[in-house]
Amino acid sequence: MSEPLRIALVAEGPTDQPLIAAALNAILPGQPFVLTQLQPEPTYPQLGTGWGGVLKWCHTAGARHTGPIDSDPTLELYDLLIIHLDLDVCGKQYADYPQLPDDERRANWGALPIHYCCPPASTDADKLASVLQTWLTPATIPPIRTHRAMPAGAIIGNLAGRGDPAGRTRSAMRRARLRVQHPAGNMALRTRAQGTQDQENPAGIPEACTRNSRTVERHQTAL
Amino acid sequence: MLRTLTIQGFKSIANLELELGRVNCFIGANGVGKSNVLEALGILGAAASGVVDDESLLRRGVRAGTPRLYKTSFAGLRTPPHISMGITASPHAAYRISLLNPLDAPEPAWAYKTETLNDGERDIVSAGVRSQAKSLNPKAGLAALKRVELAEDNPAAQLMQTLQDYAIYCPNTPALRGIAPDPQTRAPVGLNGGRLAEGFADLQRALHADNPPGEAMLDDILTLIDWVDEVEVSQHASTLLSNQVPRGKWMLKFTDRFMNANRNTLTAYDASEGALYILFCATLCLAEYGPKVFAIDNLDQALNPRLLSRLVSHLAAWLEHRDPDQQLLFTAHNPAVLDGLDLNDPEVRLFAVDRTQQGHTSVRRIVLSEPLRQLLHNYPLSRLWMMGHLGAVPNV
Repeated sequence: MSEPLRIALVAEGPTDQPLIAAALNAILPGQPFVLTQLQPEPTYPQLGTGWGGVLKWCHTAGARHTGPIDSDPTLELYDLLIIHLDLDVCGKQYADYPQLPDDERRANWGALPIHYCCPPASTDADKLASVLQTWLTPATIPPIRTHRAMPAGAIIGNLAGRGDPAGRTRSAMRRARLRVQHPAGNMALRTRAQGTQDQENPAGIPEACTRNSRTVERHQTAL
Repeated sequence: MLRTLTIQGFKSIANLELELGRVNCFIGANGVGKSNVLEALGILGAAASGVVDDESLLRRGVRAGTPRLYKTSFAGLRTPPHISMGITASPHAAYRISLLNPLDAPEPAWAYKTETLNDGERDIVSAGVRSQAKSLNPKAGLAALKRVELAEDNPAAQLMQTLQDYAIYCPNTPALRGIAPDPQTRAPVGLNGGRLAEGFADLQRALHADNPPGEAMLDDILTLIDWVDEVEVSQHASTLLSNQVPRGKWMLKFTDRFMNANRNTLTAYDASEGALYILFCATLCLAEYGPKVFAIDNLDQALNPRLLSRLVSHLAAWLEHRDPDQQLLFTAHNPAVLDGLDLNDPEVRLFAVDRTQQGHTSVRRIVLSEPLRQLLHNYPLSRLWMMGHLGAVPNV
C-alpha cells in the first residue's frame, strides 16, 4: 500500500486550502496525499489571516529554527511544505498590517510594495519570493523540497477567472462579485465544493490558467 | 500481545496496516476514521467468537451496520465484495478473515469467505470456509470451534481468547453514576461504565492484598482525585441520596477532605465526573479479570487537561502491572493527552489519523527524531498538535 504524501500548507486564508488541494490533485495524479493547514491556525490570539498571517508564521518559524526550513525538526513529519502567498501582496505595504511583529528582525524584511511589472507574472513572483525569504530569516528556503505557491492575483481570482485568464481587472471584479454574493460564512463551503469539482476534473486546473504553469512546474520539481 | 493489524475495505479504510504497542493513542479530526480502527478489531473479536452479527458486534461496542455502511464506498472506486481484517500476535499467532454480505439483500450475519488461524507452527484453520464441505454453515466461524481442541497455552488459543474478550468502552456519566442502566454489562465494568462500584471494590481488594506494589497503585489512583481523602464502596448511603434517585446495590462513597467530618461524604451521584472517569480507567487497566486488550473511545471526556495528562502518564505502568501483555487502544481529542505519553517508551505509541484527498483513512505512527525530542522542552506535543505539525487536525 502506498503511503500518502504529507503536505503542510501555510496559506493566507482557510478558503485557499480546498483550492490548493484541488491543484495538488491535478499536479499529482494518482498520488494520495494528506494536506494539513498549519496557518491560519484557529486560535485566539491567532497569527491572523491574509498575507500578514503568512508573514507572522514565517517570522515565528525563523525564530524557532536556523537553517534550511526543511530541516526544522518540528516539520519533520511532512514531506512537503507549501507557503502560499497571492501575488497581489506585491502591492501591499507593512503599514497596512498593524499587528505585525516589531522586533530587531523586522529591519531585515524585504521592501514592500514591489514595483509591478506583470506580465510576465514570473518576475513579480521572484521578487516576492525574495521578500518572503527575508521574513523567514534566519531560516532559509532550500532550492528543492520547499516550494512557494504564488498564484498571480488572488487565488480565488484565478478560479473565478477560469477560461479567461488574461485580465487581472476582470478577475478582481469577479472576485469582488463572488464575495458580495457569498458572505464569508459560506465561502469555505463554496471553495470546498469548487475544489471537489476540480478534483473530478483535475486536468482542467493547469489548463485553466496559463499563469499556473510556473506553479505546476515548481511543485513537480519540489516533489 | 497483538502486534500487526491489517484492515481492507472497511468503512473509510481502504487498506491499512499498523503496528500496535501497549498503549496506543489515536488522534485525528472528527470523522477521519479513528473509531473505525477500533471497530475493525471488534469485528475480528466477533469473528473469533464464531458469529459476526449485530448482537455479537454490539456486545463488543462495535456500531452495528449494514453492508452498505461497512463496505468502503469511495466515489469512482468499485465497492469491494468483502471486508477483511487480520491480526498477528507475539508469540507467533495470526488470525485473518474476510467476510461477505451482499449489499442489496443483507443477511443478519456475515458469511466467512476466508478464515485462517495459525499458531506459528501450523495452520489450525486455513483456506476458505466455502472450500470446505458444503454442509458447513458459512456464517459460523471454524476457528472458534477448533479452539476447544487447543491447549490453553497454545499461542493461537491465547490469541482467540484475547480477541473474544476485546471490547470498545465508551463511558458516559449517567452509567458511571449508577443512575442509568448499562446496555452492555460485563466484569469489571460495563462498556458505558456500569457496575463501577462493584468493579472498583474488587480492584481495591486485589490491590490491598498485593501490598506494597498494589497499595502504591491505589495511592496513585487516589492522588489523581485531589479533593478526595478516601473512596469506599458501601451498601449504606441512604442519608446521602434522595429517595427519587435510582441506585444499585453497591454505591461509591467519596470522602471530601475539605468538609466537616460528619458531613464530608458523597456518592457517585454527586461526585465530580472526573473522579468517576479516573476510577473507570483505573479499574479497566488494573482489575485482574479485565480484558487483556481493550479500547476506550474518547478517553479524555470530562477531564481537566492537567488531570488528563497525569492519568495518561500512568496508563502504561498500570497495564503492565496487571499483565505484561495487556494493551489499550484509545482515541482522544484533547491535546493534553499527548503531554502524558512517554514516547521514549517504545511500547507507548501515538498514531495520527487523517484522510487523504480521496477520503481514505490514513494512520501513521508518530516517531520522534532526536532533534525533535530535544525541542519538546519548548514545543510540547500538545502545542505541536495544535500548530498542525503532527497532522491529525481538521482544515477548518
